[in-house]
Amino acid sequence: MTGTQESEYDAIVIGSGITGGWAAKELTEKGLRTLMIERGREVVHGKDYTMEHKSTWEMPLRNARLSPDKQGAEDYQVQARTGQFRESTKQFFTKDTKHPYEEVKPFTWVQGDQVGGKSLIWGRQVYRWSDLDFEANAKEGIGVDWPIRYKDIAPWYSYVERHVGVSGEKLGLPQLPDGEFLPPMQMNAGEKHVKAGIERRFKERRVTIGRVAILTANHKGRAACHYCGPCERGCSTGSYFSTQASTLPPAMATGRLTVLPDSIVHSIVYDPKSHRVAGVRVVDTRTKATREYKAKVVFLCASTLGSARILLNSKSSTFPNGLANSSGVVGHYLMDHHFRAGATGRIEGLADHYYQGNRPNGIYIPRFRNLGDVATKQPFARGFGYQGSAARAGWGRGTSGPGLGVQLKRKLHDAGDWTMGITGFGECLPREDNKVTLSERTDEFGIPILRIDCSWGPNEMAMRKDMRQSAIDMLEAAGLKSVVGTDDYKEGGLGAEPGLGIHEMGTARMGRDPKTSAVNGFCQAHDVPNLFVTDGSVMASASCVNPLRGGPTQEEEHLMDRRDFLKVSGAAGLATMWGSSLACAHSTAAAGAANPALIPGGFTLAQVGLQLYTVRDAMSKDVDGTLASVAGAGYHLVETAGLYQRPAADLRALFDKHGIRTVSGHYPLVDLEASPETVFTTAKTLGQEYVVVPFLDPSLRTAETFGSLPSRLNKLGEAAHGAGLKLAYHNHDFEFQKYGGTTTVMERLLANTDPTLVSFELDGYWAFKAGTAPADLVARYPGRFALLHLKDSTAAPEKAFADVGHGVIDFRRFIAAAQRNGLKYAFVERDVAPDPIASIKASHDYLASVLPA
Amino acid sequence: MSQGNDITRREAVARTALILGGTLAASSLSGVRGSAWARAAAPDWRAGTLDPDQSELVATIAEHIIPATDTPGARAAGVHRFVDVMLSNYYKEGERKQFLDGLAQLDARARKELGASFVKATPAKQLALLTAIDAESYPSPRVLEKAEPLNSERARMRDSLARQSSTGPTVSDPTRPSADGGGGETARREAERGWFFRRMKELTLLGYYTSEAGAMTELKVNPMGVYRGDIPYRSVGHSWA
Repeated sequence: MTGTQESEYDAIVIGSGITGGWAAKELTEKGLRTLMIERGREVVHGKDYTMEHKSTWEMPLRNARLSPDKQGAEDYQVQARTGQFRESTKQFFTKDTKHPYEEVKPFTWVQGDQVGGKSLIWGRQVYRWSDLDFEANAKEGIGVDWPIRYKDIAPWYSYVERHVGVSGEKLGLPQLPDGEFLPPMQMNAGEKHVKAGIERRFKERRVTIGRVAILTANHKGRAACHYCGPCERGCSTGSYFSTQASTLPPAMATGRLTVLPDSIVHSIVYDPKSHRVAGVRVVDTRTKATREYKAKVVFLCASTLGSARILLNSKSSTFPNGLANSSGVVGHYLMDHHFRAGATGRIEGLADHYYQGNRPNGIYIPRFRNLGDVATKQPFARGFGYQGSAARAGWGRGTSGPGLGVQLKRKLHDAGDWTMGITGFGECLPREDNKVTLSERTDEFGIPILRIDCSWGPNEMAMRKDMRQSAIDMLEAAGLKSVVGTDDYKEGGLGAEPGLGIHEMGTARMGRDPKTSAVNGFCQAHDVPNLFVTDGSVMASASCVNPLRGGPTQEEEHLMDRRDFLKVSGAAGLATMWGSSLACAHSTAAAGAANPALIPGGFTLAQVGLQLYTVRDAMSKDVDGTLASVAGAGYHLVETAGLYQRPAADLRALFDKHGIRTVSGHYPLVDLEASPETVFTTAKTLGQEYVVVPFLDPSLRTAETFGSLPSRLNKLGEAAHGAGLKLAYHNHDFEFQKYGGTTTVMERLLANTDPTLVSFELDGYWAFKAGTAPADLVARYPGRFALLHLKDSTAAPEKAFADVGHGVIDFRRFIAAAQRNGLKYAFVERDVAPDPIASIKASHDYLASVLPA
Repeated sequence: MSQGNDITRREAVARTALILGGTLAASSLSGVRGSAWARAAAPDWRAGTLDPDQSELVATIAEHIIPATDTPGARAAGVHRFVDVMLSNYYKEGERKQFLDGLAQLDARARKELGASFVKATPAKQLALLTAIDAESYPSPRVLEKAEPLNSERARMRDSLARQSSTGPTVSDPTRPSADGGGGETARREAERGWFFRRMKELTLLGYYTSEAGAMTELKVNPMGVYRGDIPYRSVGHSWA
């Protein structure tokens, strides 16, 4: 993936799944040179989705489910227990013979074994937790109290949702908070019918479309879902969230990420002198060679069970029971969601209704038990929600009874009955005796394997009865016929055993007290200040909702802000995690909520940079000295405009020296069209994400130019995309004229360029000068303006340049609107200034007063 | 991580509409035909398990289950070759042997009742025999459920259907291996009687409706592109494959 591996990094991320990808993105974007270690093979976005869009007849077994008793499942005896293990998805599951474990009681451990981990094959349902979840342990005296509450994590949910892209419907329910949703997917006729029936009979229950990390609109360079159906084969348009589609590209774009596949972590190395971890010990899975990598901070994102295994195997004289395990809780309190209890039934009266397209989603019925009032109180603790879907039977029904020949063929030509099924997903309580330990046996890499001892308890079993009966009651209330209740659980057997939910949680739980928990409210190990565990293992309870959430850590924010690893111990983090709608406080976000002067939303000062054009004269004389002044004025992010007769690598070195990174650069259209590869190489050498067309010479501003420009930008955008970059167009005032068209050039550029290929850098000043309020423009074209230029205008009729916040443009409204509509970076610029350094300082000071740090 | 392999949604849809779309020009299929279907139809195709007589027997039975009408039948769709692939590369020895035994028993019954091997009998006699076997092969659903606890082709297809019709969360995975030994001995024997023909019909339907002929000519694959949750059935007029 990236060049040769050095042995020392700023940060190491163990695992490349949902949380590892998030950690890598956040760390690298904050300037840390990061190594991401993955035990499985490389999977390249697009290229390695070899089964995507394959027709059934192109597969020898017609996409058969590979159950344990069939050929092809010999090495996958656990993975094959799940319905997801098929001819088309087999390549994304681990071989159980390669990564074995022991089951004391039946426990199905589903594992990925590739870059991207299970983010490639996950169910994509994402729900926010509420304080009903965060307060449950404390109120009921079960487990340990969460050290965080909903208000702490809410801004981070938003941050993550805005990046991931989550579609769904807002309901206003306290137990299932709304998020920042893309438009919801549609329900089908059967589901609408059942929804109406349930909501008529049970006033407090709601049926909604699933909230999924699947795009229903183009989003951040990723395309809207095209409804091919089986996401789990991989999606080359990046329409569902995976590491490959969503977190890896920005991390790679920083030029600071090294991905190390085929490398399994044996243990984390602890240095008793410094009381910190020094690095990790890794086994190459192909050669079995062992190697150590060092880093100043380690993020453990290897999955709930994988991370527990690594901690338990990282023994030292200080931590004889495993790293960061002075409390003894590591490996205990394993949880999963229990499901496969519900009901199915036949819907009548919809014979003339059907659907088209393959929707990778179903319906959701939010929790309605034990909401804190008398009416919803149950004899068991906690609650459950339902997932489900309706469909018409197809040709498969021909196998259920006698019949053959022309008559059978005619019958199967028509769609069959509508049926609807729902299954509960229930919360599981944390129990100390649900645990994992290290076995005496080792795997082929010499690492002790896990011994898993986990079962459902009386509370789960009592809840399942209600999950089944309530499902029957609701489907019958909706008028369905032949309603049948189901519960797949079998005492001591396979069917609905723990693990099948694939929502493992809890083996390194979070808490306030180091004696009873492994990590603090920021996912930082109580015992080891530079070790962070940011996956499902930190969950102190399980909730009943599908648990995904990632976010940057406050730890990471601190590293970014201070670049001071020695102060890691004082840092607090917001977790990036699978298995968690983890709520973590974030000081700056909290400050944002508390200070009404701040611009609402997740856009921060860290995303504000400087367009170096502002200081071009000084740069042309003294790059080193000018960059020192730029950094001194508070800027650690810049957009370039020229290279000052230096090789890009030299310029990059100077940026690095001053703690400055560049994410965008201006490159003349003529250069881009003459030699795109040269420009792209320069941009990538500099570590940039965006190449921006800055300006059209007056001689070029003709009707012909503006007629051809959209397609030329599309072409350049496609080439940039192919090179791992993004293209943007930066405006002045002339684009707000019509040049012979019926609409302005700006409107034509926005309408006729492909949103997935061409972004825009809105210069708010020039728009304002041309008579257009920049806030209105970004709101009118959501998702198109990833970049902004910030400079103010005087009130004088000639609208002269002014420092940001010192003129008449409403930047609060402008930035708030832009950040709601896909803003990534904003650059201060003042084309002409008497004292550029004083000017950029004044602009920065203003922005620091209205943006969270 | 190279992003060079990204394709836009428009391209993806254009590319795959060729494969899955509802309206296809014959010429646009030529690119697709180079694949598995063509291989299955190739004259040099060789069976892995079935000998030529067995293969012909399977093809003949399958064609009775799904005959050619104004659209291709099971034989033209290569169902017998699909059955051979499943016997060779999917079922293990036990099930494979049980299936081959079932074939032999059916042929023996043909010789006894029709006075000729099955393939030599007249089509009318073949159909009469299969109709009788079909009627005998389906005990009550309750008995079947007990005897073949959810690990059968039938259940597998139910699962497959649920996924194909709506790839949302499945209510339960009916195809998991079951620790349940099933119902009593009587039920097992009753179910055992029809095992071969049920399996044969399951394989025929699976092989036919997942073939290019079955999925694109007889039916149509539910196309990608957009999702419409509630459209008149009349506007489609057939089941999605």
